[in-house]
Amino acid sequence: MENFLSLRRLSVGYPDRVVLQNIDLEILRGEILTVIGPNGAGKSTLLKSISGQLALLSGSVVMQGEDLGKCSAVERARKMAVVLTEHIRPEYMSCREVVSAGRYPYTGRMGILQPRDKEIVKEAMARMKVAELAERDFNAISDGQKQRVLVARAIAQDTPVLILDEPTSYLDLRYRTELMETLKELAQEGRTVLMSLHEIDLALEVSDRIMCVQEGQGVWCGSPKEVLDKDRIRDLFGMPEEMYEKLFGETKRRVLGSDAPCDHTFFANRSCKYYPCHKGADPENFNCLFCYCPLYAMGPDCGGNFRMTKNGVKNCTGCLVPHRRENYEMIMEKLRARNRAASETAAAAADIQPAASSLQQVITEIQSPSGELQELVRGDLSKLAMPPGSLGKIETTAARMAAIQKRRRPRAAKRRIIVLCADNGVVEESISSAPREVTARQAVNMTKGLTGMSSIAAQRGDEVQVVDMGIATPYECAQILNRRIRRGTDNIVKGPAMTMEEAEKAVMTGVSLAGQASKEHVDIVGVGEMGIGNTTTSAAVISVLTGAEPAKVTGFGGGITQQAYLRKVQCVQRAIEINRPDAADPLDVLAKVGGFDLAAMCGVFLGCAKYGIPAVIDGVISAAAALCAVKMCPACRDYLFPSHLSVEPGYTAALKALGMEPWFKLDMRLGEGIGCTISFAVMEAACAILERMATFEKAGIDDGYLEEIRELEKKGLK
Amino acid sequence: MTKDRTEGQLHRGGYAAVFAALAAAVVVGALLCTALGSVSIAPGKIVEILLGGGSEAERNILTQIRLPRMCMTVLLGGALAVSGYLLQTFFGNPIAGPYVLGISSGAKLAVCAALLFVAGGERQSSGLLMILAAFGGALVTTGAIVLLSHRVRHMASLLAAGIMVGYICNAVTDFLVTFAEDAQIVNLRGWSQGTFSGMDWGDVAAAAVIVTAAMVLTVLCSKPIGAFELGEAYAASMGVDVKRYRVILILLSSLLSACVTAFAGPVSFVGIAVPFLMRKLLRSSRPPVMVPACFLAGAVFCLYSDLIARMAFAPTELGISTVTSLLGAPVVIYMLAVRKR
Repeated sequence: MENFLSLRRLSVGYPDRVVLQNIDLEILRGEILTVIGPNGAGKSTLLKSISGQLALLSGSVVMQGEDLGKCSAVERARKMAVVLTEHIRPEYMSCREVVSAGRYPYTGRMGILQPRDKEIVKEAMARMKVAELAERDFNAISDGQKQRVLVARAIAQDTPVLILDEPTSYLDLRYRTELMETLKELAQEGRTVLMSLHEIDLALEVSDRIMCVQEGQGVWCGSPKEVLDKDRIRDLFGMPEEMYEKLFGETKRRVLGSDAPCDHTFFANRSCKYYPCHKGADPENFNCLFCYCPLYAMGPDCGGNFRMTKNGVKNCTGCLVPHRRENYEMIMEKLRARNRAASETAAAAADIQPAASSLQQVITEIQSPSGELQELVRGDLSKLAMPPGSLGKIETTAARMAAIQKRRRPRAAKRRIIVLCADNGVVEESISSAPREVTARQAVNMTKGLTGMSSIAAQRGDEVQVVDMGIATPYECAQILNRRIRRGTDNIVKGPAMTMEEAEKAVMTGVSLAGQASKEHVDIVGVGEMGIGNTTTSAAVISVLTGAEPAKVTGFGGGITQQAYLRKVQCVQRAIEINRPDAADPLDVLAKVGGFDLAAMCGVFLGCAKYGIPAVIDGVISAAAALCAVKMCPACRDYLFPSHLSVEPGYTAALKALGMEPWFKLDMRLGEGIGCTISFAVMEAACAILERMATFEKAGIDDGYLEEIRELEKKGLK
Repeated sequence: MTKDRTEGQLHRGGYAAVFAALAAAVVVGALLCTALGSVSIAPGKIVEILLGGGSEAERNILTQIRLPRMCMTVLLGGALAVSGYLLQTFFGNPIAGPYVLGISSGAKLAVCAALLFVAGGERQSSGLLMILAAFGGALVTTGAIVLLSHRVRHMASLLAAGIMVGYICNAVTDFLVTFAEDAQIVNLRGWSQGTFSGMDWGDVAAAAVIVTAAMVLTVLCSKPIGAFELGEAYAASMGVDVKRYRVILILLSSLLSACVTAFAGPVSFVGIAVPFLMRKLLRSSRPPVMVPACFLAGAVFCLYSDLIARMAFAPTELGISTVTSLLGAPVVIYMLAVRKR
């Protein structure tokens, strides 16, 4: 999007009354900017001034460098079309004639419509669903229909800017929604939409930016998120807090929710009409009579006094126990007990339930993504207004994501990094810089958004799912998903890390995590890990699978001395010699020289392939896991995306074996899934070009000059 | 093609039929106007007289009285109707017209004043002066109405305002007439009732030049005039230079109605009734259709009104406004009654 329309030091109003002054604003091409404000705030005045119906008091409206004040009426009419609030009563004009009036600036002296004009009129009417009204008398149709005809007229005027003053008036719910959809389409085609709306919820929904105007207080402009975040609406309309909460509380939490991670299962009274009012609040800020109690969700076992309402809602207004602050400790203790019990049950459930389908079954189910769809999207990409292939890997990524997600417009709105945490028995050999307790500590910190990766993820709005695959040290954290196989693997230098059964269970756990992500409509998954000692296991796995010398694929991990490094290389060599893993059977390799984290990561990759989710490889450990997954099932490779070039030498070997190239090099070696956060941005970019970028056709560029380049590209000669 | 247009506009054939009927009515009306009168001349004889036959008296009656009068009726009737159509477009109000808005009365006042103070009662001698005076009077009154119309947007209020302006002008005219000498106002009496009598070829030529020029301009402006149908704000947004065309519209409609008033005195209701009937008939308000239709229909309306005025109580001749009011006012009443608002 480019700067397109500029308001410069604009003051608007009437000769005897200044309504708004000194407005400076850059409006982008293809942007939807909505003006909101109380009655009489100057919304219409502003729009009328921009459209030139009202003379400006001072300042200028500049469009692509041209001052609109100096344009002729016809030139201006080719730039801006309006829908006004005022009623019109043309005598004996059919709706078609009203829409045709939009072609006025393009017709000759006598206003005769050319076939092309008629075509545009027809399209505009079809678009606003008024084609069947074409021959009806404009005065004989309903107000809602009139409004749609007038919008069609503005569309027929075929201008880069549309100005609509309360276009939703008289429209019923359905047409209102449809109008908003149409406006979104128009914006995507590169038209700029300026409108005023009374329906704030609609404004929040469709606008790229919202402009709040209030007479005498000037204007404020920001994204819907900012509007909600700063409670602009409350201030703008002077609403009492309760009314604001009632009207916009829900929306605010929904829109801002991803920014403020919090546990709203904590407040579990979903029947409460204010739910989830406590989202984001400190647990001690008990201020609601209904679901303030953290024990509420325990049902009858909470130990407090309550009664059930007729609707089956638990009403604890009469409860004496958790109501007071001095009971807080007791409540939290009860809550901890409850969480422990819950995670034990979950672990037990995971034990009892054998993997629903066997690993072999998963592998046979995986198929390469649709080549046709990829071809189709490549076609779409070649129509975008740019030299073919000029967005490089962004383009190929877009096409691949589309094929994987089986949708022509791929999405990257819900992104999740699954962090698999487990301890490794090999730390006994003192090959690591950090003690094994760090695994548990960092896993807990990760859930709080305090570690390197999770802080970036929190900033970017990526979800982080921390999974305990086998942490040795006890910890207390309900946010960590318990899928523990066992508290740490055995030392690979002395024998196999785990049994084949455990290995398969770990892989299947990974598959089920991907399944869960799919069920929760996650668009892309990144794989991270936390486990002291896992660069050693990874080096072993990579060495076996690629046949490289252990010394060539072993690195310094989290940072160790030269001495420790030599020991580490020896460990890898010993582990391979003692266990003799079968390079042709990746599961055997994982079981003998791998770890629970590695096995589960391999499972997540396989699961993503099974459920059609693009999956991102992070550093050396996930590269080792990806190598296992691809060795098990070659089609899985098409679902994988690289991220950064890790400093670890094993990484390069593994990616070479995978036939992939890292996207970027930031000299990182943190682990956790740090590379995924950044690859996510690239993938979002890939979605954005398909979603938003103008095509040659829409940008009004004749792309004939690219024909030959395309042909070359098709032949693969470029 | 025609089926789905039952509610909407006429198709091309429909337009053609309406225009053909109007043209035929003009021809028949013109023939009747030439043939009928205190001396009856058979239609067949008209050609003969024009070719040089017939008695001198007959020839004079025909060429010096009836033919100029008939031509004038056609020109002025058409001009009135188009003037009404333009005013209606300008005010976005179907009841506007030169007579009800008091524009004719304003022109009449100016003409009256000019006659009394400048020409000394000699009407025939000063066609140009009359036109200028009428045009001036019409412009001033229209200006007043335009100013008023910004305050009163409602259709009925505008009408009332116009009638009031008309009353003021009439009162001043009466005042002038009361204190004028009888000799000076002999001509004024008949004229102030409105009449197509006493036209000579000079008048016809002058009127023809003005009306033709105004009509050509109107047709050239038909695109912006059409845009005005959607209201000024939309017209401006579509690239019409609203200020300029506002002035042009006012000038054109004033010129047309001033021309009528200067020659024939105030003629009522043609300006409202004819465009209304034409809209109803053609189911359209597009200028390319409406302007010629209004012109033809205005001519027809006036031709037959003039015929009635002359023939109904012959040899006494009625004022033309008497007849047009009788015929036109009920149309306007009907129009008010059928409108929803």
